Amino acid sequence: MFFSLRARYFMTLFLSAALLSGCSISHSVSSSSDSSRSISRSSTSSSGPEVSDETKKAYVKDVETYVAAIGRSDIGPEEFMRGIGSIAKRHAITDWESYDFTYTAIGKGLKKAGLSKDEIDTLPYLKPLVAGDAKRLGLIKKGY
Amino acid sequence: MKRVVFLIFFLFCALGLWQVALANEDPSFGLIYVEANTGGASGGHLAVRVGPQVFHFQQHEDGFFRLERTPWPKFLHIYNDIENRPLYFARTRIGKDKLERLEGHFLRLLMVQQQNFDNLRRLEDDVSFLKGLLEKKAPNIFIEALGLFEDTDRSCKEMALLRHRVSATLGKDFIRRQMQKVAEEAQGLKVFEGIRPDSPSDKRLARPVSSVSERESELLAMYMGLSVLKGAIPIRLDLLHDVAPLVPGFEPLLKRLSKRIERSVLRLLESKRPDRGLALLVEMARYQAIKKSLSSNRLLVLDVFDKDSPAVSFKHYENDLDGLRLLLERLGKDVIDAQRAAVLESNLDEVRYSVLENLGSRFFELKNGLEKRCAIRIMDHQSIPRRGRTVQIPWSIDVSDKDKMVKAAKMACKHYKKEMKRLYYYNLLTRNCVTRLVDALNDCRAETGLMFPHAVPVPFIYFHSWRTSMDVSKTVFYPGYRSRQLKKLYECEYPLLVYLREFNTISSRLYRPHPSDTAFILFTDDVLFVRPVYGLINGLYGATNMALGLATAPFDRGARFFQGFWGLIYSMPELFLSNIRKGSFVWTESR
Repeated sequence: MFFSLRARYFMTLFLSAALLSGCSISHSVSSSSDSSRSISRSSTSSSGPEVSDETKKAYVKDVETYVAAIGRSDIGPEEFMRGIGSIAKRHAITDWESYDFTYTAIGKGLKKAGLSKDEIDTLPYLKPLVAGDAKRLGLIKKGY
Repeated sequence: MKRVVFLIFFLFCALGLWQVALANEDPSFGLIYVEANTGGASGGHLAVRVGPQVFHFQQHEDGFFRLERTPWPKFLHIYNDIENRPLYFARTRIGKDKLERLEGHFLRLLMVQQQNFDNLRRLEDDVSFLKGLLEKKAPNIFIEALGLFEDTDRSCKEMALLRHRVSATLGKDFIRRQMQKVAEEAQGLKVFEGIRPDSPSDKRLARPVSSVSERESELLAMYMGLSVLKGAIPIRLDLLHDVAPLVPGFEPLLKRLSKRIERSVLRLLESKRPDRGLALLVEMARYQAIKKSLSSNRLLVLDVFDKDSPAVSFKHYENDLDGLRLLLERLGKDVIDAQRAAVLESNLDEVRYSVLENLGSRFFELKNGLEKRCAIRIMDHQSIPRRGRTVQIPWSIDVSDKDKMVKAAKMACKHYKKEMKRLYYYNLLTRNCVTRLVDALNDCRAETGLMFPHAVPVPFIYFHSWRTSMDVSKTVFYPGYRSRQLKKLYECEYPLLVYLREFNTISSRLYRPHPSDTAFILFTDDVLFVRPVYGLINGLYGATNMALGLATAPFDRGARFFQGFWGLIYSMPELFLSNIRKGSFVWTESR
């Protein structure tokens, strides 16, 4: 044989280790700062014509998911709004309160959580957000 | 006749069945296997595509192993183009309903994970805040976006106009009364609250930890926002970047956006949302940036990077200046294109403006870095401009038994962190990108009724199991960037000449050597039978670099030695007809 048994054993071990180690340090996309490739990765996050649409869609989906996960929980209104604010911030949105799509996404989330349409009016965590603004409540019900 | 009727009936049935089959075959679900390359990618990577998003697990620099969501085009661009790794997508039939459930499931997991990390941050912030309280009654707090403004008593005309609008709409004394109200609310906060959080779970959405430092900083942000408005404080001009001329038709959109921001400021002043202070600061800073853009007819955007954002030092990119110049060109074009797209659709809302801010900041950062040969800051996500500043709380906080409180906060934080490490740790065999992905898929088995293959910790073996046991309609192969470019060259030039020029790293026009690719001289990913010979040459080249590296070590801190060492290591599989190293690129145009 071309390679001795010991050499082959060593190579098998090496290959296995190399193959397995793949995901271990696989691209800490977030903040690896040791190469120029990380500059490229940083740039791809905002480049391209579709980014604003993608951002909006991802934000809407996240709000839906968040509300669906909360459902009937006894979370307080401040905690609820802080949660939405935190999602919005992750998508670089600050004025989430003024967007119709925030409220329709809340409505969709409530439907996913299995709440009835009538329950929306009585949800304590929604009250301060919709108080004095019938349009917001209407949008939530529209999204439902 | 009967036969004809029967035939038509049969055709209709077949057509109906075919349409049902098509409806069930959603092309956007399946498993993705990314082949190996050097660096941290030597074992390949596994991900699942659900609709337009790709979900996968990755280790971060903080040591946590987390679920990530990446849009499919960006995933392709990073892995398949820049990292030059061939990729396989096993398109799998599951139907629309199941696809939606899977998407919902992965988004829920992301949400749960984010909440857990938010809670950890809150607990850590509480510890720092309470420690500060030990030293003085009014500790310092870091307020996001406050650093966008000058620390001065000077006022500016744009902000004076905004202040006038607020006074005219909400009353002359409104700002002062609001400041008083906020200060009273802050003084009434109970400090020892909620420092006993529930243990985190990776499946259930945790309650947000009630954090006193968060509430103090929210109220202080509002207080400072009102103070900025009251004093009509200008933004810091060193954080305002001139990135491009305004394209025709963009000016009216900016005017409309500034009007919208005025309304938004008025609304925020009366809002009940706890984070309104941060939003107010950002909106006021953007308002000034837009006004200055309009007066200069240039697009001026606020810096979105943090002061301490990770940065790539010049020595880490000095060999890649050509690639980075191409990237700069692309970003510059994107800034113009993003403006044009807004004009075309006659829509510049906050989301679009934020994308422009992020693009512009990255463009400016890269341009500045390349011109001055200094570090370039990086960030992998979109962000609002949030340069912060530390300020002292302008009210006192009376708390008894501070030592006990600090101790309790530390204990709570330590316990939570330990639990988080238990939930989000990495292990080469038991918790890697395959096993975590399979766990996540199996978690929603009850919802979807789908049976996934048992986890095998090696990406390509699991991919094979998926292909043989799932309803895979097609496996699509995406060759790496270099292979695709080579194919084009073979089609339009003499193949032998192309091969002779491109088979090595010295004369190649497609590839520029990069330190993270290790020291090598011959490409082995596109040859098979001569691979061991090429591997031997690469090994010798690596060993030579190691030897030379010993001599140059005092000058390059062993960089050449280690490149040679890893070059030798990655040459070894090539001796056995296997290939890991493929070379990678600093920047490529996305497809």
